[in-house]
Amino acid sequence: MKYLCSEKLVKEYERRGKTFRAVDDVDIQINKGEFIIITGESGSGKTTLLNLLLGLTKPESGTVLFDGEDISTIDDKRLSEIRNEKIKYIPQGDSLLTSLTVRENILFPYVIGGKEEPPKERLIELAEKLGIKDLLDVYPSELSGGEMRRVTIARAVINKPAVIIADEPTGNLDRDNTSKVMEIFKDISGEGTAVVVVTHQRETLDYASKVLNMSHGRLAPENR
Amino acid sequence: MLAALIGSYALFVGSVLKGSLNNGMTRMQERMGADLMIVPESSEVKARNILLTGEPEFFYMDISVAQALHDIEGVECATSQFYFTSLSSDCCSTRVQLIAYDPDTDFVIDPWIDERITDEVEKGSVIIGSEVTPLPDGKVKFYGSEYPVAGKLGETATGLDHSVFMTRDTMHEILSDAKEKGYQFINPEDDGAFVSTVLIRVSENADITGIEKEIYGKAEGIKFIETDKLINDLSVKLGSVDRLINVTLTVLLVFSFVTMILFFSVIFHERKKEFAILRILGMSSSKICFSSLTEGLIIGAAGGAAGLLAGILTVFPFNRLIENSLDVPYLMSPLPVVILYGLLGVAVTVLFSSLASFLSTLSLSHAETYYTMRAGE
Repeated sequence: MKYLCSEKLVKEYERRGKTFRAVDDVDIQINKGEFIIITGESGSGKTTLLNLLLGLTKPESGTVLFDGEDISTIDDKRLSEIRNEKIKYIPQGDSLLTSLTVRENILFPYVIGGKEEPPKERLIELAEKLGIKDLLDVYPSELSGGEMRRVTIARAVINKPAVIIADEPTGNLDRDNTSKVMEIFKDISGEGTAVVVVTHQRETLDYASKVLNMSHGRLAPENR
Repeated sequence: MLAALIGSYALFVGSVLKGSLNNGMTRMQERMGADLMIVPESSEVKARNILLTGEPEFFYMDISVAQALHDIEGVECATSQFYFTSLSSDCCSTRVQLIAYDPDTDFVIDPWIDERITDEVEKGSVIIGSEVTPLPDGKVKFYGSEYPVAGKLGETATGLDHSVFMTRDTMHEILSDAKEKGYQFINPEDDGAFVSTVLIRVSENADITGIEKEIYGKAEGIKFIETDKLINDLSVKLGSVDRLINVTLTVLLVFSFVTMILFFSVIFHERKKEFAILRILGMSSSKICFSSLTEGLIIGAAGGAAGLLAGILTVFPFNRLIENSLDVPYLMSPLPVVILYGLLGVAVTVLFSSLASFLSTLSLSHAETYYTMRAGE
């Protein structure tokens, strides 16, 4: 079942007076339960592609369809609803709200969406699975890099979205924490959520059901 | 919040000052009653002091001045008053201006008394101005004798608020007591021969300059105080004070608004990443704008309330000091009006603050989240 796809997606930037294509004619299909890893050199357009898929930036041409809706043209309210409920993004670096506790950070999408919070058991179960159960009442400033990543993942998966898009989720993590995070993504995809991960770490490629490579804005299957 | 405090404080204090000055001027105009005031040539400043500052003064002239007004065309009515003072020693309640008026001819004090005091003013009793405080037993003491207070007059924003009014009979008693204590203003037996001022109301369209000339021809050693001119002089002075308040108010309000815009711009710039995270989590740009607007509203309301409190702590305890230092009629506006000024100050500050936060968020909410996120990192 196709959740998210793009057709002939193009994004251009100006640099020193010259226009270049960060994303060049990209077609991608993301299906239910699929675990896709996108690799590629720095500056190859991976992050830009993710932002296009999330509707966080507009393409020059092409379309991004989610469940039949073109998210590059729908209004901000509807797009925000989709980001709140269906497509979750884990950006590079830390993205926790520092004034909220871990528990509040994980549940914050429900506050934004004005939705009823999930049962307490769901939060505890998830926190236990991610190894952050004892950290629910602490603030992000007290967490390590790996713990922050896991909290961000908990925030993304708590409401069982259709798609999770993660940009370098294991950057700056040691081998042990990297494995933990990738295992979590694999488990989530096994539950039916499509997962798209951008990474430089080639040792993680085995977790994916599909590996794509991005080079000079173009996306192609990885030769392995 | 400090900017909101300054804005609200400036608006409240400025409005109260402006309102009280206008109130004072209006009340003074209402209470002047006479068009012309004849005083001894050397006592013009003293007469002005009595009217404007309430500084007790004593001066007199021969009653023939009053008699010289007979048959002068344009004089509608005239009455005389006698000014003398009490002392700030044990013999007297306090040092105030004592004013004897003639109930038979009076057209200045009587209407004012009638307005406030419904009972007949008995012989030997006095009427006190709004700023005069009687003894605990409700009487006032002058030169050893106590006089019942028949009533207290309303505020006028003039020196008359610090005066005590009486008929000539009572004046005679006080002058006799004063003489006994060794303070002789005039010989009590001669009190019918002197007046301090003659107050004149002229007919409509009468030529005031012509009337003055005619009186000058009949009486010597006198000076005229035209109440219109006196009020005009005060209006000019009031205009200067008003301009000063307006300029200060404008500067403070502009400062407050600009500071708020700068504050919110800097704060929101530093929170770019936070806004981007909120967008990623599914908050719409309109919700972010609304949330910022609410923040601005809360900051404006808190600062505005603090400014209002600071304003209240300035205006009320220092009311007398302000009144004395401004040197123009100043009468605190009625409480409902002051409350209105306070609400206006807080409302404007809340508006400023909300507008400043909204303007600062506007550019952020229109930028693509991808760029906001990168700019915030």
